[in-house]
Amino acid sequence: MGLREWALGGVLLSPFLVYVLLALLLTAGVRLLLRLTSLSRWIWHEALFDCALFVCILSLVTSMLGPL
Amino acid sequence: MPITLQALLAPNKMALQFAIKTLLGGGLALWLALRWGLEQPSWALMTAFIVAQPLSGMVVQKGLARLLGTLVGTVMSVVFIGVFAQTPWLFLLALALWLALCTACSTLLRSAWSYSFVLAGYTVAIIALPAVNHPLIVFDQAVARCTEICLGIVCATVTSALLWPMRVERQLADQARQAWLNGLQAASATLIGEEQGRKGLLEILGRIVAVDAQREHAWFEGSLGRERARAIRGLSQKLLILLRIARSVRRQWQQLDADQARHLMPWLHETQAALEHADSPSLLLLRQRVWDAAQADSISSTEHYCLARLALLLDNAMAATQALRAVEEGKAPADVPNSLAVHRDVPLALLFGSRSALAFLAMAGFWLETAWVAAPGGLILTCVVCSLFASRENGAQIGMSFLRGILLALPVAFFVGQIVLPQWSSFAMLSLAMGVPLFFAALGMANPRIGATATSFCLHFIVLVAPLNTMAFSVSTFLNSGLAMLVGVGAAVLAFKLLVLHHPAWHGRRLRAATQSDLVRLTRRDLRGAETWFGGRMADRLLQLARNYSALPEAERSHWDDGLHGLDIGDELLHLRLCLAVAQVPLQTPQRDYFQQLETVLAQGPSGNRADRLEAPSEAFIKSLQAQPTSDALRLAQGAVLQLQHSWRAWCRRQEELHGVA
Repeated sequence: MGLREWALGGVLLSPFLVYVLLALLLTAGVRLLLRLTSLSRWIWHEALFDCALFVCILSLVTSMLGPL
Repeated sequence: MPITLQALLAPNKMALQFAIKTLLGGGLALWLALRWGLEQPSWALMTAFIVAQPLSGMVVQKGLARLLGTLVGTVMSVVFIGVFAQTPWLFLLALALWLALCTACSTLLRSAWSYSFVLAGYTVAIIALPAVNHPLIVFDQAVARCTEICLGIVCATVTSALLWPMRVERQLADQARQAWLNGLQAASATLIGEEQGRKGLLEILGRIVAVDAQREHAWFEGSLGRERARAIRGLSQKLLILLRIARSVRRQWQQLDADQARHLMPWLHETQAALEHADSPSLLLLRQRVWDAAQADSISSTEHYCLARLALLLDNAMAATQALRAVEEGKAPADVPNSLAVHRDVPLALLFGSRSALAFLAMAGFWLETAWVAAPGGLILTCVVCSLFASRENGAQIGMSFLRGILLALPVAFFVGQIVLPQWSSFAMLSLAMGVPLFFAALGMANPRIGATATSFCLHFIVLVAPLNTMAFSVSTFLNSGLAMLVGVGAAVLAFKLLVLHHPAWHGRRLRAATQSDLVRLTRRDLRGAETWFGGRMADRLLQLARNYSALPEAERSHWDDGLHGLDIGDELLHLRLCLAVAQVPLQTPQRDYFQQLETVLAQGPSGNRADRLEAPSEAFIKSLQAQPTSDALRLAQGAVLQLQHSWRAWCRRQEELHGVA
C-alpha cells in the first residue's frame, strides 16, 4: 500500500499529514471519552498511554483510509 | 489572556525601555550583518534577542557564556564532520553522545555559566547537521556562525550599556538588605518555635541563594560590582551560619527544664528584641551581658551552654550586619570565604543527558527514515529544547510554551515574509516589517509569565523570515520548515513527558544519602571553608527538598525532616570541632577514636535500633575531656558532644516513628 500525494491546485500535499491531524483529533476524542467514563484512572503513565494510543489510531486510520 | 493583553498594550516603563533597547540592538546587529554580507544575518539578530536581559551585567555574562559555548561547539562541529563525514550513523551517534555530555555538564554546573555547555552542545547540531551532505562547507559555516554570534553579542551589550543602563550591583544592595532583614527575622522566629520556622527558613534560604546567584552578573560591572560580588559571598555565609546557630540555641533550649527556662526567658526576649532592631552597639552590649551571665557560678552547665550559644548568635548577627555594610559600601573585606558550594548529583545529570541523547536519536532516526529535507531544522530544535530545559522541573511546560510561540510565529511570519516583504525593498522597510511584531514580542519578553512564549515567538519569527541580502521567497520551504519546527519541539516535549525523571521520593532518598556522606566527610574535612561548603550544600538541598515537599503524601514527607536533622548534626559537628580546635587539647587518641566511631555510625545512617550507638563513645570522650584542666572551650565541647548524641537520637527516633507508620 503506497501513499500518493494529493494535488490541491498545484500544491502537492502528503496524505500522511492529513492522517496525522485526523488521528490527533480522534485521539483527543477517545481521551475525552475515557476521562468521562472515569476509565482513565486505570492508566499508569498518562503520557505513555497517550503516545501509544495515538500510534494505534494513526495506524488504524492509515490502513483504513489507505492511499485514497 | 488579560496578562498578555496587559503586557502588550499597557506595558510599564521598564518593559518599554527593555523593548526599545532590544530592538535597537537587534536592528544594529542585522544592519551590520547585512552590510558586511555575512552568510546568515538572522543569527546575529537572533543572538541579540537571546542575550537581551533587563540588567547590563546579565547581558555581558550571558553573552560571554554564549560566546564560550559557541567557540567550543564550532571547533567540535568541524572535528565531527572531519572524522565522521563518511559514516552518517556514527556521526549521529557521536553527536548524541556529545549532546548527552554537554547536557549532563550543564546540569551539574548549576550556575549561570552552565549556559556555555548548552551552547557547546547544540551549536554542533546547528553547524554540522546542515553540512552533512556538503562536508566541505562546514568550515565556512563555523566561521560565519562565530562571527555573527559575536556581532549579536556586541550589539546587544552596547545598547544595553548605553541606553537606560540598569546595573545588577545597584539592585544587589537592596536585595542584600532584604535578605539580611529576613535572615534576622527567621533567626528570631527559630528561637521561639520549631513549627513556624519551616516556612520562614525556606523563604530565607531561597532569598540567600537568589542573591548569591546574582554575584556572577555583578562581576561584570566594574570594580564596584566586583567588590560587591565578593562582599555578597561573605554575607550569604554569615546568614547561613546565623540560621544554623539559631537552630542550635533552640535545640539547647529544649534541654532546659521548666525552672531553668523561666530563668533564661528574659535573655531570650532581649535577644529577640535586639535582633529586631539589629544595630551593632546594642548587639555588642547585649552580647557582653549574655557572656557575663554565662560565666556566673550560680548557673548549671545546661544553662551555660544555652547562654554561650546565645552569645555566639549575637556575635554572628553582628558579623552579618558588618557584612551587609560591606555590601552596601561596596568594599569587600580582605578574607572573604569561598563561594557557597552547591549540591551536585552526577547520576541525575547523566540521566538528563541520556534523555537528550535519546530524543535526538529518535528524531535522527525519523530523519534518516523519511529523508525529509526540512528534518534537520526540527532536529536542531529538539536538541535546543532538550538541552536548554533539561534540568528544569517543568521542562514539558516550558516546551509547550515554546510550541505556542512557534504557532503564533507561523502566521505572522507568513504574512511578513511571504506577503509583505516581496513587495518592499530596502533595509528601512525590512526593519519596519520585522520590527513591529518583534517590538510587541520584546514587550512580552519583559514579563516573566509570558516570557518563554514571547522569546520563542521572536526566535522562530526571525528564522522563518530569514532576512538576507538577496531574499528567497518560497512558500514550500516556509511550510516545510514550519512543520519541521513543530515536529522537532513536539519530539522534545514528548521526551520530557515520557521520560519523567522527577520522582520526589527517589529524589529525596538521594538527597539524604548525599547529606549522610557529607556528614561523614565533615568528621575529617579541613575546618577552613567547611562552613561554606556544608552550609551552601545543605541550603541547596533543603531548597530542593522543599520543592518536592508539597508533591508528597503526608507519610512520605520525612525527607524534609531528614534534611533538617542532617543540618543539625552537621552544625553540632562543626561546633565541636571548632571548640576542640580552640581548646588545643593534647588528646589525639581519644579524639581520633571518637571521630572514627562517629564516622562509622553516620555512615550506617539513622534507624530505630541505632539510636544508642553514640552513647558509649560520647561517654568515653567526655570523660577524657573532663580529665583535662578546665577551660571554656572544653566545657562547650562537652556540651556539643552531648548535643550531637541528642540530635542523633532524635533523627533515629524520627525514623522509627516513620517506619511505624509505614
